[in-house]
Amino acid sequence: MGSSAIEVDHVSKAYRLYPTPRHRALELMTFGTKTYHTNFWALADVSFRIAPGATLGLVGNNGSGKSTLLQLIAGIMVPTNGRIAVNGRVSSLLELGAGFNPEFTGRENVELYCIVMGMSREETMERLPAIQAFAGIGEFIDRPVKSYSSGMFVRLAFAAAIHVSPDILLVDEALAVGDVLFQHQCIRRIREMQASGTTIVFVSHDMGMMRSICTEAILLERGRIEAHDDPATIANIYHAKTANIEAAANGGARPRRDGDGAAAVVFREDSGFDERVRVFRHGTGAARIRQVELLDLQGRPLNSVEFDDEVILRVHVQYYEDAAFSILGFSIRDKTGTDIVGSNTHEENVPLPPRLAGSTVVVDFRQRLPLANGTYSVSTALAYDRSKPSYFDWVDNALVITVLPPESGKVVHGKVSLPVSIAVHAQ
Amino acid sequence: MATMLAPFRALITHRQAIQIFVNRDIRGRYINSALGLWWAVIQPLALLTLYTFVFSSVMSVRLSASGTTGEFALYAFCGLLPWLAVADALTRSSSILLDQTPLIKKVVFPTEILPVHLVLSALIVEIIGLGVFLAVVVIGGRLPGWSLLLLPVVMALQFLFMTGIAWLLATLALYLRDVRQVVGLVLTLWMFLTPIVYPASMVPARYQWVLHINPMTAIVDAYRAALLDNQLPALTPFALFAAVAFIVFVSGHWVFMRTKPTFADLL
Repeated sequence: MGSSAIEVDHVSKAYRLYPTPRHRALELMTFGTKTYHTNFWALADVSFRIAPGATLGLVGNNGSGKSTLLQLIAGIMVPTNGRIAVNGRVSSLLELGAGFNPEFTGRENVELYCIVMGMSREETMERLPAIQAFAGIGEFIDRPVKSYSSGMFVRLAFAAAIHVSPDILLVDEALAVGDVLFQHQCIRRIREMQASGTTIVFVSHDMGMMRSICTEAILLERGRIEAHDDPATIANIYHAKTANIEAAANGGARPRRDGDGAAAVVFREDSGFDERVRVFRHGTGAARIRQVELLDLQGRPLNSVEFDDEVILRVHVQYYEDAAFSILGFSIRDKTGTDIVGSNTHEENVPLPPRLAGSTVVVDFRQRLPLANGTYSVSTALAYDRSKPSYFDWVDNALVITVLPPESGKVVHGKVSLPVSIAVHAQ
Repeated sequence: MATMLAPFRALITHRQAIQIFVNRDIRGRYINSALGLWWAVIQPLALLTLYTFVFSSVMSVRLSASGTTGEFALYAFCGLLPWLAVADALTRSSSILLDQTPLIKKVVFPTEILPVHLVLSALIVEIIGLGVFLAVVVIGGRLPGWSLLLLPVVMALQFLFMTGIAWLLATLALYLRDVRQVVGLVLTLWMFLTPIVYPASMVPARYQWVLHINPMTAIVDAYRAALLDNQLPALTPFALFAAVAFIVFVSGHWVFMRTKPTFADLL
């Protein structure tokens, strides 16, 4: 039995509901010989086991018991019946910044969080820079938390929760907040934690994210396990169940098209770009991606893309050292971090010319985007060796693309819509 | 044995978290005031001045026929300092768990340190007050004696006593929210049952037993013995108090830890 990370054994949880506080007092005074409460069963006879390193998705409508289950696993509450065994240090993100004191600075709150999580002061001091870098809230780290925007709050809370190197991470929809860039960053980090063997329990309403991150999933309904299966199956069952509830609210703004018309292709750098991607980049730095743009075919900047539009991804590169050989590539990822489309100059047989230190190159990738609506991030990379992955510069989240739903009302099944021809042979 | 050691072990395990909490609390008390930490000095100084004025000029209370009225102000203030700490810590601990609901419902957190940090915070404020008091006494031309060395022992026992009650109150207040209202009343009553602003000798003989069973009497008497009289506190009441403090501390922790798993349900 010692092999499970989490073991939930016939667990039930009842909340006692009293008509008024006085009834609670009355019951207390009779030492439980008289009962004045009614039970509300938030969980009823739930059993499952998770292996170390697995990622479990908890799915279900509001009130199905997901949060109660997380609280029980975290050890915040005890089950009314049954038993829960958890092996390892648990870090939970049940509510954003719960326990953060608004009067104190981000740094102070993070310190306290780490120490409460069982880290020593020295360990805490050691991790602070990493937490600070991940949160990316700059000098706000030394300002009172009450002055934070909700986005900054999430960033800091999430950064703290994942940097205490838990064996088990519990996340309750915390990722739904925060901007797209940060979501991508979080998911990348979650993947790293998965790779290093962290067990994760994850509550989400986002089936796409659940499918791509989780290794297994549980569908809860009114406190019972409706199904425990692979994520795709669970997502299908859940979709089928909620199909009649879900409203087809897919308005969305049309793309805004402005700009000053077509211009000659010239190298441009953007210091704002460097600042923004600072935490998303790695590489030798002998050459750097200085700017990435999303343009229409006339060269005008785009904020969002219509389904199946052809766009130009323009990448500005600057070399700081001589480079006889280099490859520039891009990858468009969905918000779960799955690569959807991508290619590079080597693959497409458009070699980059040898470059001297100080020179630049601008590369346009012309790409049709027949993607399901949603947000995508663009990673770009400049490699210097075709045989093994070695990079001058690799930049994740260089750009965020919003793809709007097809104007025709056509439904995109899956992530990409490829041309299909249908022949009907009526007999 | 394990039960008796458990609260001490908890203090050691969570010492860093307790330290941060105490630190935050002390700063939190004064963080938004212009004079900041100076208030910890100004407040006892102002109180001492007020007491001196009231007891020597208005009420003219004397400890004994031969005593001076200024003497009584020192006597009263000396008893008031530990009392203020007790009252502050207990009032706050009755609502601490309710105030910190997110910590209890959403975070894996050693809630037992919450009452502890309130007690320590109150004691630190008291120590600043004691510093002011000693400064005034020394300026008045009276050097404290060796008995002062006994004060840390008294305060350590006071800490055990306060923390035990704080744990009990914090727990009880979750089950019965009315506790918060009652605490204020009980503390007022308790203060008058303790010889703080009157000399114990003023109490008629047939009510003296009330003073004797009151652990606060032992505390204030020990303070006065150490700070004013340069004596060791009377041994029997002090030993009794030490035992009471220890029992309250251990049982407070036991009750708190026993009920802790239900806290999230009660909020």
